[in-house]
Amino acid sequence: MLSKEEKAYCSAMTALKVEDYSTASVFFKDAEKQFAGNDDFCILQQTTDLLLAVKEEISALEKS
Amino acid sequence: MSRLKTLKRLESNLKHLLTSVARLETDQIETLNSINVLDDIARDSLKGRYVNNRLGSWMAKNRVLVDEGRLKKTAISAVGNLLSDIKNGLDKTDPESKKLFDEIDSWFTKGVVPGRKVVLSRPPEISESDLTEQYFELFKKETEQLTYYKEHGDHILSMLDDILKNAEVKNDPIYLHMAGSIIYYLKNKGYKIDPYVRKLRFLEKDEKK
Repeated sequence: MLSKEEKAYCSAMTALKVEDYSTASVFFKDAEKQFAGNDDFCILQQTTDLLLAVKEEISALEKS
Repeated sequence: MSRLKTLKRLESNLKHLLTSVARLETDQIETLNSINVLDDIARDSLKGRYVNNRLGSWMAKNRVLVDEGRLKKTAISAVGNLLSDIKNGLDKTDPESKKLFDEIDSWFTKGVVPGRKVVLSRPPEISESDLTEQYFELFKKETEQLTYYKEHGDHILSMLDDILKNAEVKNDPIYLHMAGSIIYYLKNKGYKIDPYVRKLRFLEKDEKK
C-alpha cells in the first residue's frame, strides 16, 4: 500500500500538471514528512511556494 | 524595470520551470496516478468492498503499460504487490471474480510480480537503543495507518477487521502488532474479543511457519 505521503506526492504532481499551484502546495506539504530529504521534491515544493508568494505579491501591487 | 515587471517576469520563469518539469515527468505522473488509483482499489478490497468493476476498468486502461514495457522496476513491484493483495480477496467461486483472478495471473506471467522480501534466517543482533528507535519507528507507522482509517471515519471494529485482513495477506508483522494492541484496548473496554484473539493467534502461528 502507498503511504499517505506517497499518495499526497502523486496528487501534488497531478496538480502541477494542470497548473493548479495552490493545490500542489497543499499536497506537497502533506508529503514532506517522507520526502523532505529528496532533492527533486524540495526543488518542486519550494519553487511552487515561491511562485505562489510571487503571485500574491503581484496581486497586492496591482491592487495598490 | 519596475518591481511589478520584475515580479511578473519571475512568475513567468517559475511557471515555465514547473510546467517543463511536469511535461518531462508526464509518463511518470500518469504511472503514479495509476498506482494511486490501484492502491485505493486494494484498500477497498481489503475492507471487503466490491471492486470488480473498478479493477476491471483499471486493468483494461493500464494493460498498455505492461504490454509496452513502460513500467519501471519500482512501479512493477508496487503494482505487483497491490494486485497480489487484491487477488487474495477475490472470490474464485464467482465467475466475474475468477476472470479477474486469471487476468491478474496473466499480469504476473508478464513480469508484474510482487516485490519479494528478504527473510533473514536469524534476527540480527541489535542494541537496546536501536530497539527503542525501531519501536518508535513502528509506532509512527502505526499512527499513520490508524490516522488514515480515522480520516475515513472507520469504526474501531472495522479498523480491526481490516488490519487482521492485512495481516492475513501480507508478510508484515506490523499488522499483528496493531491488531494485538487494539484487541487489548477493546478487552479493557469490556468488548467481547474472543473471535479476534483466535484469529490473531492463528495468524501468528501462520507467520512463524
